[in-house]
This record gives sequence, C-alpha cells and structure tokens, in this order.
Amino acid sequence: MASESESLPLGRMAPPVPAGLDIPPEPPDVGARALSVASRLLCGASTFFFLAFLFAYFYLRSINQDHFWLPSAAQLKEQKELHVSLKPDQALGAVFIVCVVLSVLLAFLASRRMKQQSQSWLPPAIGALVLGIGAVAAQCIEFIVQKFGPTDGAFASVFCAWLAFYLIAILGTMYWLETQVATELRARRQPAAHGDIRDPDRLIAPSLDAAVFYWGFLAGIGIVTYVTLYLL
Amino acid sequence: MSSNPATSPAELAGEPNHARRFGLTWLIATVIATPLVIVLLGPILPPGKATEQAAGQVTDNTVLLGMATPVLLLVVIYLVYASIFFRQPKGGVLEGPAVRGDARIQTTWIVVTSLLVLSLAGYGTVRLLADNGAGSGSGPTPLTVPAGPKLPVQVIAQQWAFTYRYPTYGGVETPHLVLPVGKMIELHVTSLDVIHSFWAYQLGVKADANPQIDNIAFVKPTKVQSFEVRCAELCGLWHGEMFDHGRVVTEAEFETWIHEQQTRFAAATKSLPPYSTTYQPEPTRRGG
Amino acid sequence: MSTTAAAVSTPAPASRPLWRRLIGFNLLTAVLLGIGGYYLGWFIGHQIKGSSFHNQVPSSENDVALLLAYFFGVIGFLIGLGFANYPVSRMLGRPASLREKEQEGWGRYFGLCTDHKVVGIQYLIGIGVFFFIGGLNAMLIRAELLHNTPTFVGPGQYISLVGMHGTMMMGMMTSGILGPFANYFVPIMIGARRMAFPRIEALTFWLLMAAGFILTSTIFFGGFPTGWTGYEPLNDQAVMGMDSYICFFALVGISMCLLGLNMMATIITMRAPGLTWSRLPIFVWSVFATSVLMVLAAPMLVATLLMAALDRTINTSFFITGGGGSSYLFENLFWFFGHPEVYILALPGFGIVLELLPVFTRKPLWGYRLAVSGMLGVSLMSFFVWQHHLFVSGINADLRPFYMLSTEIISIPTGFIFMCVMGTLWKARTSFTVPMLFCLGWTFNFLIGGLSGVFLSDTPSDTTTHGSFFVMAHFHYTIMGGLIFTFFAAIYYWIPKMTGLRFNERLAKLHFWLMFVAFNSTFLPLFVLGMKGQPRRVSEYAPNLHGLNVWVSISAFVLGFSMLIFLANAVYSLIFVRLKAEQNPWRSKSIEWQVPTPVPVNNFEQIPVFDSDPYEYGVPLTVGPGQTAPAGA
Repeated sequence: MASESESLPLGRMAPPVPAGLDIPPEPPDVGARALSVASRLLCGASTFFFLAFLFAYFYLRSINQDHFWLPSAAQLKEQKELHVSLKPDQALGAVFIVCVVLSVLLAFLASRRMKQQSQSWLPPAIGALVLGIGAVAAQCIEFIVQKFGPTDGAFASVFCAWLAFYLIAILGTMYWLETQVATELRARRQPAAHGDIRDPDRLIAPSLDAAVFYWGFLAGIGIVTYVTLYLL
Repeated sequence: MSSNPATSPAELAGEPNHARRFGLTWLIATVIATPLVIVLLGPILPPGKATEQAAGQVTDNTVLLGMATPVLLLVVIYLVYASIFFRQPKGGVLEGPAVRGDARIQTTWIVVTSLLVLSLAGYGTVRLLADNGAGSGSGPTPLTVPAGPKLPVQVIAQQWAFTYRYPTYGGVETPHLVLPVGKMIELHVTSLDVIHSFWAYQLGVKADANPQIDNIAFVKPTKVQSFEVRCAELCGLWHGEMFDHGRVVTEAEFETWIHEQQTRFAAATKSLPPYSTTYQPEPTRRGG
Repeated sequence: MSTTAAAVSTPAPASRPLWRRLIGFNLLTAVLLGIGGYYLGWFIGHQIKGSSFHNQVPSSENDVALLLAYFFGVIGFLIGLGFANYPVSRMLGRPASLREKEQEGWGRYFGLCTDHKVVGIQYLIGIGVFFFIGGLNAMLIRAELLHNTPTFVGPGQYISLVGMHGTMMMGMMTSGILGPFANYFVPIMIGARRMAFPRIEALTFWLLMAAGFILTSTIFFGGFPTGWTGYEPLNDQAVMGMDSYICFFALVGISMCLLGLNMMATIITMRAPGLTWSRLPIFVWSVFATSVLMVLAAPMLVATLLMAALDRTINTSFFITGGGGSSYLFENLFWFFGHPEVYILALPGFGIVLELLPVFTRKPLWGYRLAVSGMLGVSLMSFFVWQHHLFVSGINADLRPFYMLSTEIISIPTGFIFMCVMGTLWKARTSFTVPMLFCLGWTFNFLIGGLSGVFLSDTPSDTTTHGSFFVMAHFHYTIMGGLIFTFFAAIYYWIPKMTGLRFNERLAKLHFWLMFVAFNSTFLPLFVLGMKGQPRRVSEYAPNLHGLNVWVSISAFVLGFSMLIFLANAVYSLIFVRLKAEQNPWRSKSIEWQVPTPVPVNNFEQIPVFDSDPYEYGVPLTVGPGQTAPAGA
C-alpha cells in the first residue's frame, strides 16, 4: 500500500463519536418529506393504474367489436340476458361524484386549518371521511340497482371494473384519513399516553397533508372516471 | 491524454500512443472484416430470395450486419486492448489517471451514434414502405398497397392448423398452401380462436392471426420452390406441431391444382360459411 | 417515526422456552394462517360457484375459488407475519412507532424485520432460491429440445415449463438487484440509517416470496400455456393454472411498485448532508431510474391482470372478442408494462457495472453526467417503444415507422453507458478480480444483446426474426448476460461487506469462465437457429436444426453446472471454511466500505457529511490531493 493516494482518507465519515454519546436522532422533517414524496409517487402509480382502464375504455369503444360496445337489447336477448338498459343511473352517479368533490374540499379545509395550527381541523376531516364513505355507498347502490351486469358487453365490463377498483382506492384513502382522525381523538382522550404525538411536525400534520394531497389527486381521477363512464 | 505520476518515469517515457494504436487496429479490422461479412454472410442471410419481400429482407439484414460489424469490432477490440495494456501489475496498487470525462469525445460519440441510429430508422422505414410491408402483417388497412392485380388468399389459423381460402376461386378452403409464381399475393390472416402467427419462412412472411382481425401481408414469389409454414406465436398445447409445407408453382400448375381442389372440396365448400375477412369465433371459452 | 429507539438493548429472547417463542407473529404463524386463508377462500369460492355465473367452464374448474384462495392465503400469510399490526393500531389511533428491531440472532431473518440489511439478505436468499427453480426449468426445457420431437416431457408440460421459466425469471428477477443490493446498500451509500418506509420494505420481500410460492404451485393446477406474456384469449381459455400466473404477476407488480416507491422516497429525502444529486453514487442513480419505471409501469400490469382475472371469473369482456373485447387491448396494455419491465431488469446492471469499474480500474468514473443522463434517458424512452413487440401483429401498422424510430433512439442513451465503460477503462490500472471479470462479461454480452436488438427494431428484418429463437437469444443476452452477470458481480463484490466472509477466488474464477463460455456457447447459436426458422416455445422443430439444438442443450447444461460451482463455492467458502474477508478487500472509496463489518444496526454513529462523489480514485492531473475539481465537473 505504497501509493500516494492511499494516504488520503478513504471515507467521507465525520470523526467518530466519543463512546457514551447518544446517537442524535435523524432530522425531524425526514419522515414528513418522505410521506410527501410518497404521496406524489402514489399519485403517479394510481394514474397509470387507472390509465389502463381509460385506455381500455377508448380502445374498446373505438373498435366496437361486433357492435358489442353497447349491445342492443336484441343482441342481449340473443345471449339470454334478462337485463335491458345499459344506461347507468345518472342521479346516483351525480351523488357519487358530488360526495367525492365535497369530501375533498372538506379535506383541504382540514389540512389548511392544521397548517394554521388550529385545533378545529377535526370536524371537516370527519366530514370528509363520511362523505368519502358516502361516495362509496352511492356507487355500491348504483351497482345493485343498475340494469346490467359486467357481462353485458364491453362498456358494462369497463364500467363495473373501473368503478369497483376506484372504490377500493377511495376506501384506502379513507383509511389513511381515518388514521389521522383516530390518532387525534385518542390523543385528546389520553394525552398522557401519547407524549409528543400532537406535535404536528411529528405525526399528524405531515401524514394528513400527504393523505389530503393524494385524496385531491384521486378525486381528479374520480372526475375523469365520472365524466368518462357516466357522461360520455 | 496526460502523464501519470504514479507510474515510474521509465514506463512513462516508453508509453506508446495508445489512441493511435487502438484506432489503427480498429480501422484495419473494420476495413477487412466489414466487406468480408457482407460478401460471405450476406448471401446466406435469412430468409433467402424466394420472394421480392424476402429478398428485401436479405438486403436489409445485410445492411444492418454491415453497420453492426464496426460497432462490434470497436467495443470488442477495445475490451481486448484495454485488458492487455491497461493492467494493474501483479500485487500492485497503482492508480490510474484521474480523468473524469472529455467533452469532445462525448459529443462526438453522441453525434455519431445519433446519426447512425437515425439513418438506420430512416433506412428501415424506406424498406418497409418500398417493399409494401416487407412481408409483415400490416393490419386491415395497409399503408402501402402494391399496384396491379393481386391474388387474395385467406390464411385461417385455428388450434392447431392453418387452412387457406381462395375467395376468387369460389371460396374453396384447402389444407395446404399453393401459390402461383410471379403474382402479387394478398394474404389475409385471421384466427378462429386464439392468437397465432403465420410464418412462411422462405416467403419472408410473418403475420399474426388474431381473432376477428384481418391482418394483411403482401408477398410476390419469384421462384418455384416449396416453403415451410410454422406458427410463431404460442397458441397452446400443440403449438410446436403447428407446421406445414406449402409450394410455389407455375401459374399453369396453380390453375390445375386449384380446379382440382374446387372439385374435390365442392361439398365442403357449400357447408362453409360464406367468405368473409373475419369469422365469429366459437362461443366456447375453454377448449385447449 | 423514530428509529433511534433501537439503540436500547432488548432482553435476549432466548431465555423464553421454545414453545413460547413459536407463538406470536412469525413465519410459522404466517404459514398456518396462509393455509387457513387458502382453504377459506377455496370454500367461499365454491359457495359462490353454487350461484354459477361462470357456466361455460367444466365442473372441475373453479377460477373464483382458486383466486380467492390465493387472495385470502396471502392476506393470512401477511397477518401471520405481523404486517397487520401496524395498520390496525394506526386505525385505532395508537401512535406510530417503528417495530423494535431485533438486535441479533437468526430469528430476524425468518420474519418481519424492518432492518434494511436484514431485508437485503432475505432478498438475496429468497430470490436465489427462485432463481434456481427457474434455472432448473430451463434445464428441463433444453433436455426436451435434445430431440426434435416431444420425448422427454409432453407438449403440455413443455409449454408449462417454458411459461414457468419465463415468468419466474421475468417476475422474480425484477427485484434481483434492487431487492438484495439496493435495499442493503442504498441507505448506506446515501448516508441514511434506514429506508424511508421500513415496513413497506419488508412487505415487498414477503409479497414476493408469497408470489413465488404461488407461481410454483401452478404445477398442481395444470400449469399455464401462455408463456410469460400471458396473451389473451389463450389466457382466458387456459385451465386453472393460469390463475397462479395472474396472481403471481399481480403480486410481483404490487411488490415492484412499492419497492420503487420506497427507493425513490429514500433517495429523494434521506440523502446525508453534502450528498448532492451530482455526487450520488451511480448505482443509486440506476436504482432511481429503475424505480421510476417500477412505480409507473407496474400498476399498468396489475390493472391488466385484474382485467384478465375478471374475464376468467365473472365473464367480463375486456379481451374476449365474442363479448366486445379485443385481444389487441391485452397486447397493448401488457407491452406498455412489458417494455419498461425489460429495462427494470437491465438498468440496475448498468449501475452495478459503472459502480464497480472505478474501484477495479483505480480511475474515477468517466462521464458521470453522461451515465446519469443515459440511465434516465433509457428510463423515459422505454415508455414510447412498446409496439415494437407487435410489428407483425397488425396493430397500428401505420405507426410502425414511429416505433422503429423510438426504438432506435433508445439505443443512443444505452450507448452512453458503453461510452462511460470504455472511457473508464482507458489507461486504467485494471485488476482482473472476479467482480471485474463479470463486469467485462457484461460489456461483451450486452453489446451482442444491443446489436441484435437493432435487427429486431427494424421491421423488415423483424419479420423473420420476430417470435423466433433470435428474439430469445437477444433477450437472454440482455437479461441473463446483462442482469445475471452483474448480479453475480454484485454478489462477489459485496458479500465481504454483507457477511464479513469471502468466496474462494479460484472457484469463483472457474465459475466466471465456465459461465461466460457456456453462456455464449448456448446463446450465440440460438441467433442462428432463429434465423434458420425455429420459432420460440416449440417442443418440435425441423430435423435439420437438430445438431445445433443438441449443441445448445449441452452448452446449457454446462451453464447450469457453472451455477452449481457457484453454489458449491458459497457453501464451501461461506458456511464450512468461513474464509474471513478483509475490511475493505477492494480498496474501495465508497462509503459502504468505511462502516464496520458487520454493519451496525443504525449504520452510522453519526450521519456522515459528503464532500465528493465516491470515485476519487486516480492521480489528479494538475491539482494536489484534496483539491480535485468537484464531482461531475
């Protein structure tokens, strides 16, 4: 090991810490930034997931194989199908999308209040949660009352599958919001057991911020879903 | 490039001009090897010259091989050269020169590779259009259609056989493919069940057979010979057995043959569905 | 999310009796709950079948039951491992705290462990096992091809073997380098103490293991006939073994997406002070570029497979022409994922090669920015080339010139990587150690793979080579020659760090030379076979190709034997003799070699501060030591 460069310090380490010294914690904002980045990446992943359905919608619609995009009643009868109408219920669809949009608006309100260090972020957050679940419920009712099933042509397939997976995405997001609400509620009930949990830099604020961002984005996908499946 | 203080001065003085030596080696190798490759390998490249399209592909393959050879030689000779001359002596701890890049070389590399690949893409496009799809399946509405009369032949793939229909001869369906020489053939490839791929090797034709899709490929045989037909897309259990032989014959022989087929399969033709570019697949979902 | 609590030592669990230690969230519980979930799903599936909404399937087939069984089985498995504890406690509002890391002991390798180093080792072993299963399938395939008619296995088993080999390799090996090496070394290389989401990190590994097990289980359900591409409508037509494929690939897709997300979040947020983007080790850059593809492309795969599963179970018609679907739709969606997928496999290899070359050439990485832009360029471009897999399918035939162009263009950024390799080798002081040999092997293999790709990207030429053994040889050169060679380079390079032990060098060199020669002897003739007209995935081929096929098969067996040499070396050197490695056997300047071996649980006592990239090798030209120009300048 005679080379000149060998005498250079190999590593880029700071000098070793004397024994007995506590390991300093990582910077407090690392978790928050990681959550924020993750929510953006999750938006990208969700986009591509639903892009597959959007692509399927327009691809199958443009091909309209054997006129089975929206098969006529006669075609369906030939297949011994008893359903007749391939039109989804517009009223329930409207309830669905209005619930989504209102829920997002409330979630944004909650996030803003949280940023202003206001204690009153909880009611809008709970409202957002309820409306989100309401959207899922409205669409589930639509699935039950609609006069077609997933087997009735290409549109019916895309309609049922796309919305079903969208509902699962909503439920996941609602779970994310719910964890913030639950943490806050428990902390209010038993503040002693939680120590610094209320410190917004530590837990709730970054997570709520990320969840609301994702929910806002998912709602955007929801509007595209609604326009594509109900209005086009 | 630069001096290397870590090496001994004696070695420094005797350092040859590596760039020139390597460059010359590569240049000589390229000048020798490229024409050799083109002359020796070019004629035996697939798929032979039995059709206009196949001959076009041979030309295309030769051009690509001719362009690939210098690149291959560049990197391989470089690897060998570097392995021989740029070694760490046994047990040594010498350091190389701390060079982190060279803007000129990098720019040259980017420009040269860009020009190379752009010209390849341009050349491929020209060949594709000039040869009317170069024998590949070009979809239901091909971009370029050859002028003049064409003989339409339908290739129907199903698990696990190809059959052929001649719509201009009463839609007769035959188990083997026979084509007249010197005529532009318009192949309509479709499937009755899953995706297959019609590959007539010597004709230079490959077109996927998709259910409910009319995939058109043009081919003009120029030689009387037999050719091999294989399925080139995994289609289930007996995919490997899905092969057949076809023949390119003179026009007179073809006329005799097709009329023989028409009489032989007269009864069968009547019970067939009328000729159409695609056929509704059987409703069964689980077959194989 | 505090990680610092781990410094507090926990009482050794060994004091508890054995039976007590078996109860709790561990692998045993996981397996039991997995089996329970499996039968629960099977039962529910058969109850649903009573209402019979998929009535065209033979009575022995019940896709609903099998898919539900897999679904509940995986859920049960994950609950048993303890993955549900955190989400449930968060749902109940309990504060977030990282699960205590087990300080030592073998137990942590067999359960949910949030230590990124443990997960790295878990990945290495787990992926290794499935790599060998996939390789064994390849041996059986080549055994069948010793004769030109089906003799050794039947045609049905043959296509199942082909499918299992392809799917296993394409699925499991997506995490082949990111799983073991990125999980282990990216946090250390960027000066972090952990990954951004340690639980997700552990989840990706256990999901992948569940997936591998599910794919292997396809042999109990009749295998699947589609190969790794799973083309419709053959997919819809196939027996229940197809559900294993769907479930496997969907789980791999989820695992991939989460792995990429975790990696990107870690690299973006947790870099130590001073580690700017232009000082990032090139391996970390390649992980980043791969992660972009994983996050964006994998969801597309999951969506596609969900559609396929719905087609198979509740008779939707996404891909079935009879009901208004289109088999083209599947091909489009699949390859929109499928092409990025092959770069997910190739890109980490670029990173390994460029990371290792400076160490063994004793030179800085030549053209750092070129390498980074090459990787990001490949990553971005790979979303725009997918229809070159469909040149003869008749899809959008008018767009073929565009896809030809985009495919040719993607070779420009790939060329950057070669430029960097060659620049780094120039006037180097190369030591031909085993990792270096594998890197040089990569350079040759990927060159052949890349040049043969030019033929495939050109439609007229592709007309003959498409779907033939030529394609097969091409992607084995890029994936086996690209990924697996660098995989082994990484193993030989980093095992001394991961275990403190090293391989027997003579056996390792024998492994390399045998593998390199046998690899080329196997796959070079396949180009010829393809050009002579042998299609892929056939158990029966033209008699005149018999001789060459026998040659290929024997070479393939030698290639398989070289893997056994590796295995024997691993057992001999790492388990029996336990050859001790030096602290920094390669005299690397990268930071992972500066931390002690074995790496402490928290990696660093104090977060390091970076003032350059890790490639400060070589003798500076004009300035003295310590005054070198900043990295990337």
